[in-house]
Amino acid sequence: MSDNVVISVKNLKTYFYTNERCNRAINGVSMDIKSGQTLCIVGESGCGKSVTATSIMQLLPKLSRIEEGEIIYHSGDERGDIRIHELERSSKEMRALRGKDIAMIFQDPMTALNPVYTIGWQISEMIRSHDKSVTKQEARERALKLLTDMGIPNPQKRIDQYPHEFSGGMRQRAMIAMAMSCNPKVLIADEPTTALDVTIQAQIFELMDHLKKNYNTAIMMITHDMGVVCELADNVAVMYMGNIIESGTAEEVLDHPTHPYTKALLKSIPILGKGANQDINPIKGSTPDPYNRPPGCQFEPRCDYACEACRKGMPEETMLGGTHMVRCSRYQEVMKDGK
Amino acid sequence: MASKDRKPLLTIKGLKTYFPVKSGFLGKTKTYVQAVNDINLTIYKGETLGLVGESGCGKTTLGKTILQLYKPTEGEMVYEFADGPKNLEKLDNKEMDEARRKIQIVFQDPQSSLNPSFTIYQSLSDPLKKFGVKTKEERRKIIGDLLEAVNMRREYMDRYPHEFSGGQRQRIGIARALCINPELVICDEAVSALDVSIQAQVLNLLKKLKEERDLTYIFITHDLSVVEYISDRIAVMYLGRIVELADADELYHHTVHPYTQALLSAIPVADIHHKKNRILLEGDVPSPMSPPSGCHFHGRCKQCQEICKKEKPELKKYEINGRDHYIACHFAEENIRKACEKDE
Repeated sequence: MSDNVVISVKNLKTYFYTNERCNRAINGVSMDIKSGQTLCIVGESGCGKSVTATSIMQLLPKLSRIEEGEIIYHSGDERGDIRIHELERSSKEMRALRGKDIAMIFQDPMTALNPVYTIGWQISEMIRSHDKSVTKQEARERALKLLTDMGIPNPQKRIDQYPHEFSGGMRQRAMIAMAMSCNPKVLIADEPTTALDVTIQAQIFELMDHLKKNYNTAIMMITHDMGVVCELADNVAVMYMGNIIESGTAEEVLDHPTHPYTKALLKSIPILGKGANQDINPIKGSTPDPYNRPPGCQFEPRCDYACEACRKGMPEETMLGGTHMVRCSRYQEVMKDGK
Repeated sequence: MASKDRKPLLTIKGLKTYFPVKSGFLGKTKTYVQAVNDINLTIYKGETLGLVGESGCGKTTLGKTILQLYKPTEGEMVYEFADGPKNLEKLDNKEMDEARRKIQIVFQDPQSSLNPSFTIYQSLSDPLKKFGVKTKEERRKIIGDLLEAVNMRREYMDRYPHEFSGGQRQRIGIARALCINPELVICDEAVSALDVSIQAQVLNLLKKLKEERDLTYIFITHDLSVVEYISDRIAVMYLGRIVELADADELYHHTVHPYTQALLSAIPVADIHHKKNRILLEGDVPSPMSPPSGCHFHGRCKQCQEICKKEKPELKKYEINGRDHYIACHFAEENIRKACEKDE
């Protein structure tokens, strides 16, 4: 394992229990988050990408439980490796970790910010709750510097304003400022730009690139947009119904998709600049009911390559040299057929 | 489509839709949200016009004003009926019924636009009853055929909306819009709420239906890749005005307006070899309650000069390689020259 792995997730299984039924939301996910790199997790709604993030943060709802697997945070200091999956959700250790070492930003900054406190107060609170020795005045100065770094115009005035006085893009910047306030090693971003317009989205991307380069932050980015993946990712993991079905570096996965789902997904999006004459091929059918899953490979009912073996069980992880992993029993044929 | 022999279906002239903002104890009107601000637009029969822009630019308001769901503040909309052109605002009740039959809408969120306590048949049969399909057998046949046209099973008409997935519901929404044979269908973010694999299904379906039923679409969306795929012409809106209007491929190959350039460059393209040359815009879209003077885009534009702050640029027609291109910018000619230089 290379040195710069910050969080390693191994065979993680998180199940949800509702109405005496069990939804295997994540069913054996393994990945590494590396410092100074962006890992993009891409998938359609309901594939478990957000649950993966909330599992790492231990922010899962009460109805759910990590059944199996491990999440290890390599702190790189005297604390050594911290086994996150063994910590209680609201334990002191977890609360110290959350925000300080691993920070998260959410899709909707309006619901994530507290409407009755000023932005400056909220950032200072974050700083002071993780480091009691910081005075109010120091915290405020740090908050001001953060807001300036995140590109908020006129920070002296903005620091005393309330979230409702900010625009959507600015709120997201404030959220990122708050997340970065304790210099976390890992930043988990759950669809941070989905609610924003494209021109604002471009601004946020620029900012995240800046964080990666200047602070060496490990970024885990959750998205459903293949375009975002192409823009930002160093590494990609494609999820479908609770499994990572293909992962690797951005070039490996996007240039040589080896899983039928990744391939189909890339073919189903119109690409800007190709005009009306491009072929877009929808994936047949729709995602299965999570309570009534296919017995074998989850993608089997919608797959063009499906065969008898696919119905028997989920294919094992196959490494295609380097970092490229695929879970498909007929990957060789898919590979032969090209893009 | 040859540009000369197109027949206009709907002509919009100087359309403004303002919403009053009330404040104070007595609710006095203080200011107006200038959602649609002086729009001139012609929609031709058989085309797909894409309407793109960021949130708050007035694209949905324009769509709903065409449907007469909002009353326009100023301007006129002339629709070509079988017995000649008529102003949509000055129709009597009977004519309005006819207009409503001809112009239909597909909403963004199919969940909230279908009545949850009605079966699909009940939802779709009311308009048919209103427009003269008397017997139940006939109505069931029409709805059944429609469901098959949108790739669903005939039997589904006796089910309730909650039994369907998002993509299926959107297809029902399309069937609902089509059940009384409209001419003009306004698709308001019709695929935005859907997952990508489902989005492709609905887009291809819309293309197919257009061919089969000789429809005209106004396709409202914020997603430029989608609009480029489906549209013949694209109009780009910014703060209630159209800033650029051209054929879809023309708009992409010769992007003239600085806003369109920035918008196009900001879109993440799902192609890893795509050259990235992001033009970053500073700041946010100004409030439509107090839009900037002159050109609305001047505060965020790199080419901004004194004239941009004072004078509003009109949407003027230019020709690039013999094709029409409408641009509202004081520096259009200069930008056209720059855009054409890339060709060589």
